[in-house]
Amino acid sequence: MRFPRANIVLLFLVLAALIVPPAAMALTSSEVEGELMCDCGCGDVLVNCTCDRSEELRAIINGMIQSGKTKEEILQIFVDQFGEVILSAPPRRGFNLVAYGAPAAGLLIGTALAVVVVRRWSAAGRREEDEEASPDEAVSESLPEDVERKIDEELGRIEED
Amino acid sequence: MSQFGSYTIYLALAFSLASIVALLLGVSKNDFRYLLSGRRSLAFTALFTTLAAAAMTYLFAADRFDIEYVYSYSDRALPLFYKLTAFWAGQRGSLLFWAWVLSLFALVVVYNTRQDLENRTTPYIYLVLGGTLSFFLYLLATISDPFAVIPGGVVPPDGKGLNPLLQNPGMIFHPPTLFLGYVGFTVPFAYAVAAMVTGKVDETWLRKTRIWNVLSWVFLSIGIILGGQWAYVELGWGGYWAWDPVENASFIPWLVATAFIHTAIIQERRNIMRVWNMVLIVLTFVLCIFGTYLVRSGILQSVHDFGATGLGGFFLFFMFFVMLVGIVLISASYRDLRTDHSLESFLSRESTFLFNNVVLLALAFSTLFGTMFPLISEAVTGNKLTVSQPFFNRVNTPLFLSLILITGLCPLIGWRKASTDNLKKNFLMPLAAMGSGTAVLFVLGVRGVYPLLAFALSIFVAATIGREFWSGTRARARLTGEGALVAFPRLLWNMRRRYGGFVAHLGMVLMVIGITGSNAYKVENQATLQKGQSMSVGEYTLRYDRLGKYSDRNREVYVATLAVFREGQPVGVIRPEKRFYSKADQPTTEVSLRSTLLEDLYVTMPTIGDRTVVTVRAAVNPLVIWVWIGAFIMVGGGVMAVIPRWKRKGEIREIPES
Repeated sequence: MRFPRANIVLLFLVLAALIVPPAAMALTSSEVEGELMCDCGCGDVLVNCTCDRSEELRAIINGMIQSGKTKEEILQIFVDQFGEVILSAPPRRGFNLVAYGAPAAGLLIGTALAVVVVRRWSAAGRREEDEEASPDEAVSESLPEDVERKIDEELGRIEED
Repeated sequence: MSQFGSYTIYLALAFSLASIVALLLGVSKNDFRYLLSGRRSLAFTALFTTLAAAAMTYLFAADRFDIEYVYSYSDRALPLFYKLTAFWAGQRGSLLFWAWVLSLFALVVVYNTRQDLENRTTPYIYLVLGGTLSFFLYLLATISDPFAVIPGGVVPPDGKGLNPLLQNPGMIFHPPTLFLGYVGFTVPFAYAVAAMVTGKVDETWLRKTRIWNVLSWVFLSIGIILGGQWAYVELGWGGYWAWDPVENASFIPWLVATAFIHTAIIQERRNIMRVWNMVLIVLTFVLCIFGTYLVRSGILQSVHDFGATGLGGFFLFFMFFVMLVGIVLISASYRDLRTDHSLESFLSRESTFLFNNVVLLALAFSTLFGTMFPLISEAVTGNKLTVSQPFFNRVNTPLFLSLILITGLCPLIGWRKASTDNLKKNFLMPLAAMGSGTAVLFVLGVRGVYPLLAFALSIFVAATIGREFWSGTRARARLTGEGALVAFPRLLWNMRRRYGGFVAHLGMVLMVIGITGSNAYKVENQATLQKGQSMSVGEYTLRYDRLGKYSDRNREVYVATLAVFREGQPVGVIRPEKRFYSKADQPTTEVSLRSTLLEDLYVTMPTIGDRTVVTVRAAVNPLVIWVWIGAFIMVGGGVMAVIPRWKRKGEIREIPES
């Protein structure tokens, strides 16, 4: 049985092609709206809000885009006027880095713990196997897959009963 | 009737407290009569909460605006349909609904355990149910009385009306199903506590609560999905999930409950992870209470703030109490819970379940942490912040992709031990399908790392599930001589517990495809149009033909008619609306949809200007229908997995010799 090397190579080529950056595109109002909250009190990201106030803010943003302002400049104008609370995600600096880093740290710690736990359990399993192994059991490990599946199905049926 | 309602609440509270006292006496004195009395008291609690729910329904139907709650959420012009569902539009009614459903669930548990009172765990199960009921009934009887009358005996001629956003069919089922999920997890929690108190911590409690676990998860899933569907058709921004704090509050327990359902399987099969499952069920229950608390606490700004009041302290106390009880019980019964864990191999399905748990809990943690971060940041730095959709998309997307990968890996790795040969054989077809499928998508123009990865992993998972279905069908066909078309449905039905899980995963894959398509490839446009003018969005052209107006019972509605053309060919008309409700300050936009299997054309009319000039916002959301189809299949898989096996009438079963 051979591993599908050609497919793996193809997949990596595809992923590598994705690294090519997309061509620069004109700034749209939606891009800016996605980074801002509506200040009407609804708690919605501006791009999602449908109230009258959101239409006013959209008109302001469109005006700024037409006057040639960049996304960063527009966001800064809003922050200067309303404070950082107007941004839909906290800027990546200072204490805010905790918000961005904590989930990744949690995942890493969780994964490390799981690896330790599974290694410990499988080591215990190996010890038991060494103690209890007999020639008959060694033969049963190499049952044909069809037979294993049938046994598995029958066990499943019994379980459901 | 209002007094009748209040009395029923008081009586329900009295009986729930009486059940606690009787059960404690029964347990301490080892007196069966007290236990019977405690059980009867729980049944009476269910009777009186049912009467309270009936009274509340009647008050809404009868337009009794002398009742504060009815006055706040209904009016005469409101259709009867919505008058009845206004029951759970606010915090007081939601709490009454919680208590009512829990009392009915307690009644079901009482009935199921009618022959089981001698079992040492049964009184403790009743105690947890009675205690939780007492908490909610106490809130209803004291600070959150749904039957409170307007002070001074004033009877307003009409009510304030129901929030227009809640006047949608989705809101009839979204809150109740969500509550059914939240409340349902009280039962496995009660069984878990009883198991730990009595030291009977083998897998019996899991077997007895399996149907409660899965059905609560199913209802929680339905509730979340209906909420997304409501947001999609009602809020008018073209999406279904905004990572709003209240959405997150329902999603966090769902993630932990999903982790619990998976490791419960491991405990049932291998009798391991007993401590872990106790931790997960306690966490799930606490997070369900947290979800209920967050909806109405008002501590975080949310689109769901329909009626916040100061119940926060009580809920916080209850959550800390439950956590404390959980920690104490798990610590005290740690020795009983511990087993000699052993796995035959590092590479086994059991270990993939553990890694699936890690990712699910990391997702729950990141969502909880992000939701609470504005409060944390303000407390630490004094700086007010918002943590919304872009943050969660950035942080959670890689985690979701890992989860999909594990979902695909799991069935390819055998229980107990995977041999290298088997692994090679099992991975061959799914990897080949993923590689070729991804290449085709790339050639078709799919770009972007996340969308391509999501689609690639979806193909991988779908291929692993397809492989399971195929090999199972082939094995059955060979054993029974049936054709594949007969063998496949019979295989699914006869082994529905096993294949229900695969069906649920298949639904999840379809949802991932829908979510990826609708987020990564959405195109939208907004234009202000005069009659006869057109705008384009994606491959569609919309021509504004006319603006009409009609009056309904409680609103005036402006409706624009736009002819729709796709690649120049007429494909129909679309009619977005702007609704002005008599009892609301802000008008609402009503979405008009043209939905196909490939894409949704989603049109709203945010503003109407002078002389019939309208602003039209149109979006093409690709593949969005697969979110709903996938959700339906996922939920169906869950239901399928818990359908009991009926014994045929007259079936002869062998009598054991001894």
